[in-house]
Amino acid sequence: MAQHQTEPQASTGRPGRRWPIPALLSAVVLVGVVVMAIWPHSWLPNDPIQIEPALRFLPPAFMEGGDPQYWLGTDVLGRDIFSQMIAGARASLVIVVSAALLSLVIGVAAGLVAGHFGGRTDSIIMRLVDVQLAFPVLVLIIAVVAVFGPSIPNLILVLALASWATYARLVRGLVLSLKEQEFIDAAWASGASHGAVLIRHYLPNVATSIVIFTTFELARLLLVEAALSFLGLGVQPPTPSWGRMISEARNYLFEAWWASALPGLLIVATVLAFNLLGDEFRDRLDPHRERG
Amino acid sequence: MSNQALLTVTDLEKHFEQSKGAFSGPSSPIRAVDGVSFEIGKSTTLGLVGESGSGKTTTGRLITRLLEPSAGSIVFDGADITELSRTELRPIRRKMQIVFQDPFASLDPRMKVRQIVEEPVRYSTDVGSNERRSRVMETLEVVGLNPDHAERYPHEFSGGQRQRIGIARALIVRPDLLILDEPVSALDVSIQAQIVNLLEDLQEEFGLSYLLIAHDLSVVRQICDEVAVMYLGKIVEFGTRDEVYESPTHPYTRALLSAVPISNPRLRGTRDRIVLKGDIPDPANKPSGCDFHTRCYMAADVCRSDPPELEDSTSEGHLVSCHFAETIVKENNQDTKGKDK
Repeated sequence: MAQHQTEPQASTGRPGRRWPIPALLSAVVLVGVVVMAIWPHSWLPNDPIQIEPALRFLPPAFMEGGDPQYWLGTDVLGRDIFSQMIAGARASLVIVVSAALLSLVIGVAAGLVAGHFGGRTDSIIMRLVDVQLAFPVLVLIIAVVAVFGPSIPNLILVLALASWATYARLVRGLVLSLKEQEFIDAAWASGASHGAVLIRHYLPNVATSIVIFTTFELARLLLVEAALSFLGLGVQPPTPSWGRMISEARNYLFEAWWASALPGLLIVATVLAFNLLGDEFRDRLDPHRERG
Repeated sequence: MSNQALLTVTDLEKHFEQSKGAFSGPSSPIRAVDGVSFEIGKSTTLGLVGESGSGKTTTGRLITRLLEPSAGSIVFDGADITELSRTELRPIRRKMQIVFQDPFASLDPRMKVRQIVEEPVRYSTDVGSNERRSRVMETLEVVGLNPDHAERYPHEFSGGQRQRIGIARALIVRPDLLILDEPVSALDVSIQAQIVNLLEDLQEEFGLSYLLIAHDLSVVRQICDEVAVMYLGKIVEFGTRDEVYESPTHPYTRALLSAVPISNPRLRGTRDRIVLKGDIPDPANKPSGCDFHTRCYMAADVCRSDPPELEDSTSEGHLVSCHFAETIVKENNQDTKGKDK
């Protein structure tokens, strides 16, 4: 017994802190969105692209004149809002997540290389970043989509190309401050190669910041994607999309508010969830808070 | 230095070019290390002392090739390593390692102790992962840590334990020479003693040579065989520990030693303190003549015009760079005679 007490207990993690309600709700919302994205279209209550002119602007089931079969109502072409909202998550998530990952890979690699090697390499990469950041993102995307067409791979590519620069700048700054740390000198004194310093030392030390930044980046990309679809440059009909639902229904806002307000609320909820979760990650993963 | 030297440094220089603004015109480089020469024999300890800005840390980094020397040569174990590339240095890294000053900044917070300690083996040898692991355990034990600590992260340890981890990392390749860059100055005094004792034990056990870079003269006195005093990138006095501590011959060394606190209260007040005026001069804009004349209490005209050479003062191997070395030697001799009576 005494032995058990004298043996210092290996601390396996930092002291547990309860997840606050907003973060929990955000996690629930995001899990919900992911489920929506993978939900098979054939399991939906109605076909999301089935046009029924007779059922145009059916109000939600809880309002007068609503039909339980279309419980969130129908849009200008008589398509079921609820089914469209679920089906629309797929295109949005695929585009947003792929674009975020692609820009992360490009940006982090560029930032690591720029910060680590410095000199001319750094100048070239950072000038590219400056050019990228000086360009209004939406104008760039509109131009590219107008030229190459609005397919989903094109959208992913153009969103990634418009987003890598902030990652590069973030990572380069972190690497520059890490560079002065003695543990990097210690790695060199141990005989480490450039690759070992980059992968084994810099990358793990910037990972936390990257995770936090990515959650905020996902929120931003979701808004950009919705905006593009709203402008007709994003996901093309008949593929359901949240942005396009708002766009199509906006002229009938007074007659049928649900057709644009409901997908709008969904976008707000998802973006908010990403942001709140990002805040929570930042608080939890911040090494200064962790070590007290 | 009767035995074969393990490390020979000759006329080592490091000049940092200052980045020039577009309109600032030509600027002179910072002469951080300005012609330093010394030798370290096998299983001996050389102390490199001096105040901040004297270039002692830079010297240590030049020897480990963390910085590129501007001039001079570094010969280690018979081989000139001044110009070797990163890959060519790997065999040298197995024989020469460095322990850093700050036990908090020198360990990667995202790595486990095992990963930290095994780094030199991983990068500079072909040893496989099982063998690496057992060497880590062995080395942790040698430095007084529990092998169970290998899977923990650095933030779970105290400063003294972290410095032991740093020492284990340097020791794992069983080097011949350790560069100790202020290894205890970031630690509490009680912990300092433990680490100093550990370093002494390790030296005895493995026959290590040390280059101890420090500003704490009592630590240097405890473990060094020879002492080099640096000022503004140059060695101003060099000798065995007893020579330097018992008969300091450079005014700067005398001033440094007079600032060491005396632990015996009865002896307090028996010694004159020499308080230096001003700060160490700008190494980019060194004074004329002797580097030290701006702060020296003995400075005369000759000091302002002629730089002194590092010369043998009296005893064999006790080198001093001062125009008035002979006067001071005489004073020292009188003092000792006075004490004897």
